[in-house]
Amino acid sequence: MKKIILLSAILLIFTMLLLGCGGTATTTSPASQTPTVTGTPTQAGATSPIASTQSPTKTTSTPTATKKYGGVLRILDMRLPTGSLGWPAKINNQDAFFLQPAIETLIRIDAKGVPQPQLATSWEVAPDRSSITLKLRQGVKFHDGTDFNAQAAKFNLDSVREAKLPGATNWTSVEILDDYTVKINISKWENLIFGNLGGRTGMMVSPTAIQKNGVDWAATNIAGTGPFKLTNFERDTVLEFKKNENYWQTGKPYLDGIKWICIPDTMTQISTFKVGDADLIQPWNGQVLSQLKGLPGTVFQYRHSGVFVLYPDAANADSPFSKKLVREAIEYAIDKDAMMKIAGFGIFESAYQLPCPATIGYIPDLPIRKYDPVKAKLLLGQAGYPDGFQCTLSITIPAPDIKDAQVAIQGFLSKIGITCNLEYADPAKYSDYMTKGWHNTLIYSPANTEGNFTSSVQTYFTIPNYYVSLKGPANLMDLYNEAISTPNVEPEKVQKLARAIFDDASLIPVSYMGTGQVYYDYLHDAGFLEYSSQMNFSPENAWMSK
Amino acid sequence: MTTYIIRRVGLAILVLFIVSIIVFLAMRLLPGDPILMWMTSDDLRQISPEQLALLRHEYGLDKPIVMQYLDWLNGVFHGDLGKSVRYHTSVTSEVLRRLPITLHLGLSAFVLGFIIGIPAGVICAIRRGSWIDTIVTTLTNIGITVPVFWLGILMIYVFSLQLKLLPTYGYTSPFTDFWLSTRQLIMPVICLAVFPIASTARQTRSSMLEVMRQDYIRTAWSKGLLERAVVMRHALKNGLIPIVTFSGLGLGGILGGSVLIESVFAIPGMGRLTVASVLNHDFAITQGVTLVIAAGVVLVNLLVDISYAWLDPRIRLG
Repeated sequence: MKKIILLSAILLIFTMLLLGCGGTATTTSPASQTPTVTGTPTQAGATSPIASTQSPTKTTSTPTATKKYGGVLRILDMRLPTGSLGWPAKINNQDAFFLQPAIETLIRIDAKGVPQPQLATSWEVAPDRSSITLKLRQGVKFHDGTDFNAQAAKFNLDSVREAKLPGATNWTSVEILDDYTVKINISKWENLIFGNLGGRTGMMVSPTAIQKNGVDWAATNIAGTGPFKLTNFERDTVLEFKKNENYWQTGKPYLDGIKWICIPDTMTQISTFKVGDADLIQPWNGQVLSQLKGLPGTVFQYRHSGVFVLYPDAANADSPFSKKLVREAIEYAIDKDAMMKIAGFGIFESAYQLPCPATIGYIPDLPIRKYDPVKAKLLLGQAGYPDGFQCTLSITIPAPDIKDAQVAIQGFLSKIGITCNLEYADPAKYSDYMTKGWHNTLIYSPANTEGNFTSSVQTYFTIPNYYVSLKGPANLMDLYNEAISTPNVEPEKVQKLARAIFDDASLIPVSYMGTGQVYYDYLHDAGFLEYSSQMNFSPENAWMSK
Repeated sequence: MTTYIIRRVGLAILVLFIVSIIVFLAMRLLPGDPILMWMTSDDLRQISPEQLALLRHEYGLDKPIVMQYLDWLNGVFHGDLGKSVRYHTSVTSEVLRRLPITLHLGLSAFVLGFIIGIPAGVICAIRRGSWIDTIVTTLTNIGITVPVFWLGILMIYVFSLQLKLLPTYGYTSPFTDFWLSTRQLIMPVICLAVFPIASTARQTRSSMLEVMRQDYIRTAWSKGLLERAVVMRHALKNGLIPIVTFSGLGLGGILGGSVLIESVFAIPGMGRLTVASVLNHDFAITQGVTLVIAAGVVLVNLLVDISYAWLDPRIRLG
């Protein structure tokens, strides 16, 4: 017996030592560093609210020397796509970011919200705004070897029109004018079309591949025109791309591949990044971002992408929140700066208006509603609630920092007599709230207000049976129609719209939220801050000096 | 013995049938429209009542609940567990992709629990009150109570971040890269095995102490047999019977995977799939996964019952 036990113990220890003492795993393929292209990498992060910092131990400029080829960029994320990968009509909007290496859009939207050419080289809006004509790029091939041309564009545009994707609901038809020109006929012009064509509505995939293999095939396969081809996808695990040797931009891409690794646990994410098993990390919460900020040898980038707001049920006449004075009182009652000092992790900022700073619609000199509990109490009294009232304060994301914010808001509101019962609206309840409405309730939840603010107004105030308990100012639709009807986006008109919503306190902003990346300083020109919306990455330009 | 087995198999089938009904009804009784829930905000914006009706028809949600159940059961008998509303893929293929991963992880931990736990328990029992008994008992108490996710994070910090010996995350099939697979599994398997080791050791110790007090063991000692013969031939054989039952229950639970360990070490197993499907109201996956887990538990329990009867004649004869 003793011998058996001893032998087992020795064997076990020996096996563990043998297995444990091997080298560290690496997934990066050997880089063939062939210095053939020269250029100056662009420096991302030129405008506020974009923040870009490098560790003090490193130089702050991107090397301007020869760009290097090779290497696989390994990106850590908490999630991977859940919808279709290769059929735009079924792609989830929040998945678009992951698909950029393989799928390109007709146009791209830069960080200031201005459309830039991509697969469309130019465009022209008809004088009567009944159509938009797009000139397409020549010499572009899909991953299956077929040509990108007007027929392919029509196939894709028709599919999103038939699927009634946002931005395509007003399209009446798509015409081919010549091999590389298409015209979209529109029943009611909306200048939001540019933003939409820069997202999944403007994504181009091979018609031949779809017709041959079917839409179900496209759920896990991609035949786009992008600089990388999809090679492997395992749900919730990994998403891998390899270099497209026939990419239309000669000499690009520089990387051999891109690999997304899904790690749901933030501690493991941080450890994996620190140990060097990943080149880039995209944390979804400020706490992780703050922990990685300043890590030696890394670059930290952050940009506001939206705002946490309180959604009041202003549309219900019997709700206290139907009164503007009550909504104003709530904003005055919340000490947002104090909240951000504790829960902003040194990254997030208080929000006093809905559009993100430096985006279309943001009003720099807006007279804001700063924390003033006395005024809040006064307004509440004027609204007919001198002793306050009871309501529900709901959150839709059960993350610790959001629960903390919920408790903080409950505390601030209790000081002016509003008693909030806390609630977590799970996805089932939230979808019911959105489509059927909520009552005597404030919902604390994020709102995407990046880019053109008119798009946010469209989402929250103009769609029937969606966010049904929200109510905007009386002149909202007039201002909205004015803002969307110009051939190009006119910031002053969007600002007027934003101002009207602010004056009405239709939504109560609390704090800006954002997207951030931390990556090792050997990664260059990934372009994370150069473009807005979900398609905010330049995989074709990214290269690694390591 | 044959009657006993037939009776147990019949009961197992009945249990599976009841589980299938409960799971099916539970998912239907949960609040929230499963079709609306998996839709993104954009989908909700643009969906028309006609499109909604079409989707309900596609997933069979427009039929009476009894018909939905029968359709699903028919699919199960044909190896089709349905289609995930979230992933738009076959539940069967998703389960088949993840089950081997969970089994690899869970069985490794189970075997480790047996290999270490039983000898540790036996040593403690035959050396009761000695220093080794004190140390092992203390360690098993720690092993029973330590939170596995905390242990996992601690191990990542020590073995990956500080010593750079083991990878922090992931799963690789041993058929693809055996050594990478083994290195990736060391930490999660140890984390998963800590509880089985501790509980098996405690159970074995307690069981062995009980047996060692029996008359026939005293007789064996009085016959002048060697300690090895007394322990291995007489005591352990009878002392292991409760361990078989105890371990069988643990083995059944392996199929469900460990949500915490799979999340900490980013392993795409059954645990993560189950939790994600429940949170997302992906009824097809929840039903399929629960049925597979239930089938596994029932099967293991059946085997345990049969082995118990084989080990202990009093049961089959009673």
